[in-house]
Amino acid sequence: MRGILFFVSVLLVSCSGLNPVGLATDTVVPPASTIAPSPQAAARTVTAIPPAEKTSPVPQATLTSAQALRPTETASPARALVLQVKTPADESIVDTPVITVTGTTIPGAVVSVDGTLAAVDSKGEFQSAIALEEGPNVIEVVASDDSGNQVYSILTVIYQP
Amino acid sequence: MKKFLLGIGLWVVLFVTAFAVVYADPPTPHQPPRGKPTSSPASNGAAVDKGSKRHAVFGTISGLGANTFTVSTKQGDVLVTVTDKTKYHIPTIRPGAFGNLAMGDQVAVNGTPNDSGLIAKQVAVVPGKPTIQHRVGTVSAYSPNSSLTLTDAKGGTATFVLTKETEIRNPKGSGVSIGDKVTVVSRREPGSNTFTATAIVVHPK
Repeated sequence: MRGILFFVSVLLVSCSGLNPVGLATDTVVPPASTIAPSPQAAARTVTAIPPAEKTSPVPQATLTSAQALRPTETASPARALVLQVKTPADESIVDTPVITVTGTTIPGAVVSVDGTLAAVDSKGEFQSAIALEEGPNVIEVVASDDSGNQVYSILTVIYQP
Repeated sequence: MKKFLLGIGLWVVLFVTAFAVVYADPPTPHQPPRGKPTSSPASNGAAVDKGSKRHAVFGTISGLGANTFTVSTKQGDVLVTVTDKTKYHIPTIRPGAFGNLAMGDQVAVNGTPNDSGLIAKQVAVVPGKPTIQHRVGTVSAYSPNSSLTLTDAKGGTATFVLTKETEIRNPKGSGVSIGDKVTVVSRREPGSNTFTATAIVVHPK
């Protein structure tokens, strides 16, 4: 009987090291690739064009331009014009001839997608359906405020039916 | 006898536990999503759809040959061969041609693969800045379906060509009047300084 108990004890000890990998994987920290910012977000370009620069090819400031906003005639403080395109992802390949461009800007902004006005709601969210041609399509999304500031994002989408 | 049976029971439990641990599926936290995506971002600069044998390349032109050009992508260089059937979409030039491509151009290329890279079906040059622009000002002259001139806050003027397709959005009316504050969305016609209005938004006074 003591022999059996001894054998069981030895088995217990050996079992604790049976599969250290399998036991340890529950606590593995995800690699950096799973927590890094999405490449789509990094690829997105938003550029601000102050009104004074529209007729001359001067360097453009990247991102939005709170400083470029001029004082308005109203008492409320001006909000910095922003533009964030959510879909489609830049440099994407799609298999449908019509896609919906969605994103956010400030409420009251005018947004165009390839020159067509997009519907902007009270939260500044917009969307616009556009038809694609087969092959590469360059999509220009431009937003502006009533002071004449504008920001844009240029996306490339390839339609492969 | 009781202790003997207890020992045997323990042994069986341990054996089953050990079996389960050894043959359990290892966790797969980075398993790719299943199913065919409707949209496949190719942020590495090149994408391959092996099923349809079609390729797409996004990148910068880093070399130009007689009937080839090299596209530098984040994945590496891709040699693109053009044919007489290749179509070109160049923002400032219509119709575009191979001779209009330049070093440093950002391009998107669609085509079919060959041994050396890709045979281009379509090439699009991505503009550095949009061809669409918004202009805000007060209407100083207006002729429906013909032209509109506005004066901006700094006193500058701009005249736009209007067409029947020009969309007019006026929340408190149906048209445009002189003195209205508007945003004109326009497209610069390739190879000219003419701006055609695609839309006009009338701002409330």
